Amino acid sequence: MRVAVLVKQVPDSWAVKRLRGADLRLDREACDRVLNDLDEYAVEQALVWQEQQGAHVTLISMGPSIAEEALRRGLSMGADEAILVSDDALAGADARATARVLAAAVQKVAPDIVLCGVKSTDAGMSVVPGMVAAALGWPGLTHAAAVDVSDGQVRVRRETEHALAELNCALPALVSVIEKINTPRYPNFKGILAAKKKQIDTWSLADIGLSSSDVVSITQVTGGAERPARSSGVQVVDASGDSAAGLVAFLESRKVI
Amino acid sequence: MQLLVYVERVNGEPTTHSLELIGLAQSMGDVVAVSVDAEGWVIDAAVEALADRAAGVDLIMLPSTLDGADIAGRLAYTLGAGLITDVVSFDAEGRAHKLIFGGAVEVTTDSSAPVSVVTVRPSSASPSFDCDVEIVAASTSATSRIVVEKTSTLERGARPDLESARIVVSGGRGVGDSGFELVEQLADQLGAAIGASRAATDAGWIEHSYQVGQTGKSVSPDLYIALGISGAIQHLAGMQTSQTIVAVNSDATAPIFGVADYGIVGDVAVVVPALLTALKARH
Repeated sequence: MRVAVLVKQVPDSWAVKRLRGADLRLDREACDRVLNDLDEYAVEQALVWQEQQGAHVTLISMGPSIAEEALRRGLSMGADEAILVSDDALAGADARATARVLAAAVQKVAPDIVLCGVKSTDAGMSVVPGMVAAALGWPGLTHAAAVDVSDGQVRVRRETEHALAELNCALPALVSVIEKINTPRYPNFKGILAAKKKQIDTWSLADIGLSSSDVVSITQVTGGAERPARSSGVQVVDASGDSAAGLVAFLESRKVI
Repeated sequence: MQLLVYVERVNGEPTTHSLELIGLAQSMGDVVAVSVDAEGWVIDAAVEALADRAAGVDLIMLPSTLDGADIAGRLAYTLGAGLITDVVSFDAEGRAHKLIFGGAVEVTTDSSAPVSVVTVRPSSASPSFDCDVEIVAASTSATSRIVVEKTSTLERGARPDLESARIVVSGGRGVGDSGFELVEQLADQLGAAIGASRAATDAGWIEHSYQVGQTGKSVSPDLYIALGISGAIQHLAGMQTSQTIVAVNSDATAPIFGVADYGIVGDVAVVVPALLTALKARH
């Protein structure tokens, strides 16, 4: 079985994120970059299949050349190979353009199943998994709390705010996974050394059969302003439960109780 | 302006969040509202039902729930429409406003396509009960290969939903395993929803779906009470747009106090029981 895992490099979620004045894009230079937390669960699931069923695991990402660092992290966890789609025409790509590119790369890799996280911790739109499925014309089984593949079928336990559902369909398919699904492994020393020798292929738009006119962003940010930072208000110390009356009076003054 | 609204339902009833969207849409133009019955694979059926009704529509609105975002992405891709998620308001020119980076930055977003698909956050308008909702059968999806074997509604008890609740009481590492009972008691006393930090969900004290923060839900209730939560930037990103924030934590240097309107430095196990007694005495 061939498994493709879609991953993204994002600013470290501890970083303070700002927009650049010139083009209203995230100032990625200003923060540390990491593999998106939520993608690690998808990588882990692929590695479980690698161990149990001999699956071949290919990571696919779109981003500038520096995004190789995030792919290297996935390789050190144990993925077999990685592909970075990188092209100047992709700077500032919206979700639709991103999905189109990832889908074209997936078609070239031709896996049996695509795994991904449910969202990135930077844009956080949670739309790319469904859009990639739409672009591929594949079933998109999203928000999986459990996933199982056998005999050319995938079964998923889907979990959203209000509902649980047991889904299945024939492969190929795309599955997005939630944090509950597993605990991602931490790369060990052997994995880190092995990753240094693994190949990361860089593909341009032309390599996946697209041109810059295929990836024009429809949605643009037209204005942005930092909101005033919150500041701290009243602070009291309570060692014996005597803060209650003051807090109740405060809540009443705010008309929230 | 012609608007199409997707109505999400739980146990057959439209959610408050969906009714708010109808209210918002009615303030902007003529509204057609559609829902999909829950028997079957709702996502593809909703995409098809909305796409079938999109001719002549300027704006398609969905709630900013997990299903709403999922449907919105696929629909926008199918229609070649603009896509904007987590909108909090529209200005007089019809531009969508949204908060990004955990509420630190507000942006306006525009689309060059004739039709836009937007997801809208809860509490963006007053709910409207005055609208017919067309209900489409999920089994009508012509193309989906996905089979739904079983569905069930998650029991939330009598508590309101985390994302649309007026008051949220959240617990973190500082409440300890047994302390989550105090979080629940305070939430029930206030008619509030329960939330949690990642530390609490990772510890297994409460389900993952209750997590507030960058990798969980974003909430902006009227009142957010953080119990035993230190306030890592990932948690703040999910709650710092709340109107009033109260924090109880034993560590006076915890970052949560930097955003709290009212901070109590003390042990949750001491502060909350006294608070419960005081709240009960009010009634």
